[in-house]
Amino acid sequence: MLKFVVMRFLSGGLSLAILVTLIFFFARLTGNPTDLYVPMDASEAVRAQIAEQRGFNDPVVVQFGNFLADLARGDLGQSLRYARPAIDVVADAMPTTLTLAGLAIPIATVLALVIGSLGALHPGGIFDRIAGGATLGAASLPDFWLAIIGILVFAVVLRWLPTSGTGTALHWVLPVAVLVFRPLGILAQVVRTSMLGVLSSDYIRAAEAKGLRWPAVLVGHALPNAVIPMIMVVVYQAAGILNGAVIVEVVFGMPGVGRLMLDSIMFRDFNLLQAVVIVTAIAIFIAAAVADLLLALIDPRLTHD
Amino acid sequence: MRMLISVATAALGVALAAAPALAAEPGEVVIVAPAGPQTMDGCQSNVSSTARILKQNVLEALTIVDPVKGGAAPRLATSWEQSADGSWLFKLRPGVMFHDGTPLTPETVVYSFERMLDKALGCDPFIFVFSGVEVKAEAVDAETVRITTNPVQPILPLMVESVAIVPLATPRNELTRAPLGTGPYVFTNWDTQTSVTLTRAPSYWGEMPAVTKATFIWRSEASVRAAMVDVGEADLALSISEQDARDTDLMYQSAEMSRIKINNDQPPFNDVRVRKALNYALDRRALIGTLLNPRITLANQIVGPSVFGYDPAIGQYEYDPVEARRLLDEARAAGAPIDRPIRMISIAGSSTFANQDEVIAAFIAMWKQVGLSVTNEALEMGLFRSSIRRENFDPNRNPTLVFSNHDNTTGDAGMSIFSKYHSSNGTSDLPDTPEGIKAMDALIESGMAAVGDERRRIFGEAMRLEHDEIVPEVWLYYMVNIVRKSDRINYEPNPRTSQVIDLATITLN
Repeated sequence: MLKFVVMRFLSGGLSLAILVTLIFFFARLTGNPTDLYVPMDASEAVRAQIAEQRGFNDPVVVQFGNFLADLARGDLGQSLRYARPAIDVVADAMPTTLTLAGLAIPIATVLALVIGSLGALHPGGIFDRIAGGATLGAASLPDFWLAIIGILVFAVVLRWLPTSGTGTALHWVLPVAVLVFRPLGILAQVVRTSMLGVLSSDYIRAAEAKGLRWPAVLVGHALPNAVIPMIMVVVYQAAGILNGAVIVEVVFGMPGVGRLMLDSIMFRDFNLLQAVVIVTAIAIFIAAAVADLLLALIDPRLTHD
Repeated sequence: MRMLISVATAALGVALAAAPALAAEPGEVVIVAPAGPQTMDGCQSNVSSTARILKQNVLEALTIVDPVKGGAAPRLATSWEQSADGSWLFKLRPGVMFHDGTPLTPETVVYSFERMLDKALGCDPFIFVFSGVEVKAEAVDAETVRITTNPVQPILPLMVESVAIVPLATPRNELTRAPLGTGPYVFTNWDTQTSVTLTRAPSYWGEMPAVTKATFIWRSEASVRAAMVDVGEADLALSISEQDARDTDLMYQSAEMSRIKINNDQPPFNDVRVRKALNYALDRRALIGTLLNPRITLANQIVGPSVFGYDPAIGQYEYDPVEARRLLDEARAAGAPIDRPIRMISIAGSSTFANQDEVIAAFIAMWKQVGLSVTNEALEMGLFRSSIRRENFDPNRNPTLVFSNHDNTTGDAGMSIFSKYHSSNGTSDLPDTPEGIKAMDALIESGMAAVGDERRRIFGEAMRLEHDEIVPEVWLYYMVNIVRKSDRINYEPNPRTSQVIDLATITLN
């Protein structure tokens, strides 16, 4: 197991190093950011000066060397737009995104387990058909539409919830609800399909033959095997939110990482972009590593390679 | 079951108690803007997300731009006069204190100018207003500051409006995140992710404003901003979109105009007849009240009526497809390649006004009616900005139009005319011949050196020449903007509202 964990971390570290290198060079392929930091009317002298001051005139390889040296010291540089350390800007935004993911994914997972399992119990039944249609719809509905309709109905018409922002528990209800929809739709379909396969297995029939009651068969025997394919899907869905639930963050005015990443690309704020990518990559790497360990614990065969 | 109901009731109670206060405290206003600030230093006075919070509320300058009449009015300077050598003497307002308790002195003014115009700090006043100008500020006596510029700036009282006066405690070589000024509001808190709070300064030198506390928040989505006023979460919502607007919303003429630049580096745009035809071919009026707000007006010069130098005598290129075709036929007969595909570039994801994409599509269809083939290409902002620089023009590129906008919040046409038509600027649009360029440069320079009616006359002449003879652009519209306010407050928007929210002008019902 220890070897498995060490190998997992080494491969994760290698992926991170490749990612950091790629993001550095790809970001610079978009061009010199000087144009974004001086007005269109600025004189040539001013443009040249700003470019020189901010190191945009150095060869890219020199810039990369400087970047690695700073990185080794844990310094991800200053955000050009925010005029403060890029890592601080990301650190301010990260709690919002982590909270969104931390609420939406567990809720979606639990609901998906219940809906998918119940649907698989009686395939083709009324519940299965309704749940199948509803989860397919949930997976397909655009976030933007859901968010605006949610605000109109629950904030403007019913006045039950605030329109947007953060501050109280109620502020999180609409954004989390919108974020739950897509993972719920996908996960419920995965659970149903997986459960259908498991329920037709010999060991389930053997459990039934032993005289176990259905809930015990379902929870004690079927579910642990049915969730194995679901775990990686949960991680991918969580990674999607960690990467930034851009639309939800924009519509609800939630100060998260997704919005930050989009802005850093639009405004060629390279240091901020690098900081966002590195921090989210680490978060996703940790989530994937935890999932791997969880899978290895559930299914020890996975550690043998 | 009874226990379940009890738990549910308790949960609902907690949830309702946690609901945001829909009514602000008396004296407090909440303003929701499209974007939050990235910095909190007067150094970024041209970034609207920062300026609308700080300018005139926390930070004050020697002068202020009159938002309606234009021109400079007193603020921290009570009067000013130009010396025979061209320098300006500003008399400071007595008894003014900074928020850190130190007094306003000539030394603080000198410090503020040195800081704001330090090349290393790259502040907006240096980049936007004083670019290419040597500035020296010096204390003359206990209440007078002399500002000398090279070349002499006849509109210096207007230009100094961009330089916030800060106390000596403001860091010299870095941007501050806790600005100190002399304004009617003290900077109190900045939660970088959610809000900025200002509270009324108890020792303000001027009349005490009605608003005691102002909270600035930001939401990108216009429909959400509008809904926030409806449900009582905000008192003032800026930039309401056309689709969300209703009759009770406040509309105002903004300082912004939209235009399509005609780059004359490629034929057939080097033929003035083709440039005029581009103007005549557009039925701009037909889109007002349909795709565009009914209060939008037609533009015919680079500044709007509220700006000093605007010339009401300049005419319009009224829709005349027959004249457009005649001009194109004439140009074609003279050898101009009218059939070349024309490329128009615009900024991707950025809308100067609501329904911009539909308006562009309508214009392209109108140009097609007279035989011009135009396609629009939306570019990422950085690429757009580098594409419009003359030095980057590819000699083999297609004839190019640039969909653009311009706003002048200085109140003086000089800034606009110089940046858009003088050859020293890398993105300006120039006459076709070297002689023409030289003559226009000389005219603009003489206007920049003039004052009063002479200045107005020269600027008017420059803009008339541009409109009637040089035709470097298609003039589109002077824009309007929409805000929504709650019944709790009284507020009249003005052309500078997008840039400056003067809290002192807000009263409470």
